Amino acid sequence: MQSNIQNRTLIAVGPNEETYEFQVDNKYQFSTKGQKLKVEMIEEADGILLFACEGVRYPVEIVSVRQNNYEVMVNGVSYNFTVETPFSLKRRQILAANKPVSDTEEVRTPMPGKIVSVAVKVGQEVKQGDPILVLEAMKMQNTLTAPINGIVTVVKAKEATNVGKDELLVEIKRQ
Amino acid sequence: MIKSILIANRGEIAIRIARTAKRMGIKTYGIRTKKEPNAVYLSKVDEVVDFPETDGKVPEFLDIPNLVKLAADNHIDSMHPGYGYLSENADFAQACIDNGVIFVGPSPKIIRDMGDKIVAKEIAQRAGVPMLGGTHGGVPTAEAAIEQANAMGYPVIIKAASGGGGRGMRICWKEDEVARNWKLCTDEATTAFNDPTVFIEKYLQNPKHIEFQIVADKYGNVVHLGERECSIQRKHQKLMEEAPSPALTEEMREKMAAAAVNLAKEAGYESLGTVEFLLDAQGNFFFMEMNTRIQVEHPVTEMITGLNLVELQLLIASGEKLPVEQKDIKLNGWAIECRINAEDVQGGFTPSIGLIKNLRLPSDNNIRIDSGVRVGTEITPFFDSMIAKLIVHGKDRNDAIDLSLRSLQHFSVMGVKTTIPFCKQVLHNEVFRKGDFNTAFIEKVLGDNLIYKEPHEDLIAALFAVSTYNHDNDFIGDGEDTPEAGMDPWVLQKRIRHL
Repeated sequence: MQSNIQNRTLIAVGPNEETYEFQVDNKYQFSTKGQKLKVEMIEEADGILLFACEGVRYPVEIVSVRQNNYEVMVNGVSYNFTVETPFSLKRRQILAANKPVSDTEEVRTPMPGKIVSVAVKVGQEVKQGDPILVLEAMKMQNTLTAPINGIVTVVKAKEATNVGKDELLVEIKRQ
Repeated sequence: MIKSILIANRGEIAIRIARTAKRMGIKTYGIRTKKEPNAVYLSKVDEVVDFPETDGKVPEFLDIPNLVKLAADNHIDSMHPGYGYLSENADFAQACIDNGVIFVGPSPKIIRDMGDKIVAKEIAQRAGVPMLGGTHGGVPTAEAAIEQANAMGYPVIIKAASGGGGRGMRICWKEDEVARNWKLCTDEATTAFNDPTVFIEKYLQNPKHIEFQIVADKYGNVVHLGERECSIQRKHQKLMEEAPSPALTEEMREKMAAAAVNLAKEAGYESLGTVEFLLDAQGNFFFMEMNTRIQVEHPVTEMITGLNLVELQLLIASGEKLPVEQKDIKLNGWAIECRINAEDVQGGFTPSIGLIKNLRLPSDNNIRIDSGVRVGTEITPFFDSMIAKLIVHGKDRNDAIDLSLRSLQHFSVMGVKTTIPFCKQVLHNEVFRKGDFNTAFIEKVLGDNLIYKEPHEDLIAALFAVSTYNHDNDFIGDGEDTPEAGMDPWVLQKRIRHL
């Protein structure tokens, strides 16, 4: 049975809580601010995905989908959106307002690599943006910095060791 | 003439060397490593040799004894080091020679001379090439450093004699910073380059980086092939290059070219080489260093001169005379190279690893793509992030910029993030288009606006996400299950109040 997708509203919420609201007219037509936008997905013979909006084609890629979170690329630029309905958006906003602020922040490896140097010790006070450690990957050295002001409570990172993606390196307690 | 060649490198440069060598009738050998046994470059050589099992402590393309042994065991005539890795390692060149293998590059002595920044400056001094703060040799103590810095005037830069690639350098803005920086630099030079020698020169703020390509044979003939503009760089990593440079007048070009040629003659140079200069806002130029290898950005010179630099390298290594004279060299039109790196520019140019799921390359007249990847290639953290170079040739600078932009628009990589949106942003920038930029361009002019987005691109992206979601959720349930559709809005409102 055909689902009731006509005339519902979907909202894309960006990383800074910016919102883009669309009415679903049907699968291939959306409206925003009174403007009708015809869309089409085209998969080319070589597998490149094109998203056409009002006849203008954009090379796109769906990087990841986690529940209603979509990471997409348009023209090689990546975008992150959570797709919400008016109801789920309201829920999300209320939940966000009620959420207790976590008092520790974890610094994790953004990519596999090798730890070149560690600049912090347990008990050390750090300011947001202070260098914490240097990670080397692809012959490039990247400095990871403190996400918040606080005190270092855990240092798992060791110099000259290899680390995988998303490994816990340092924990900082908020001040 | 060389009959066979072992390419001691990987990726696009291995393919580029193989292409020319094959055309010259030279049998090409590529090296298979465990880290990428199915790499594209292996399908572009005549023979593949396996790198032997080792304890893995020394990366394959830095392993002098095993690389030389591979050449000797397989009776291969010559060794091409490409760029990076062992390309500027005098011991490698010597080991090749000692084992009867021709090293495609200059002699070990020249590599050693130019690799030692203090010796290189002395040679440049003798050739009458202008430099920052003259040559005073190494500074053995902090006191000597302070004395020299005071005499030069601030700011100054302390550099490791064996350093390079942007490492082992410290800037001092006033006297009380010199002693500390001298110590830090000496320590870093000792650990990183195994040579504690440091020297001081005047620090030039926000210079332009301009380099001259020279080529010399074993018979004293030296020819220059014009300059390359390499000021678009971040942390000393070049991201876009062009030839010629919009900053040079014909008169400046002649002066700088003469300096580069004189330096090469004074050094007794042979093979392909690059003399790097810094140019200040008043148009004064200063010697920085000489690279004794083929450069990543060599194709822009090939585009405007019509010469094949790898071919020249192989001819010279074979003992042939330079087939061209200075009067034959004509610079035609304008060339730009965009480096397509697997990097997440939005995340601070961090490496982007993953599988290349799809790849579409532009094709047009006057464009060239040097690439070492194909669909299915995995981008790993083991190697350099550069996956391709887009080189275009236009009739003038505007033409080259427009052709670059058109080509980038048709360049799609799926699976990893790339520097394509960054290259577009540079090419769209008014300051860049006017040609009035220096090495501070990315930091000062672009600032946080590092990537190019088309008008309303964020709205399109949002719509794409919404449209995909709409498709994904199309056939779930029958409408009755979805609370938005089936439930009384008043009830929903009431439930929200309980959250």
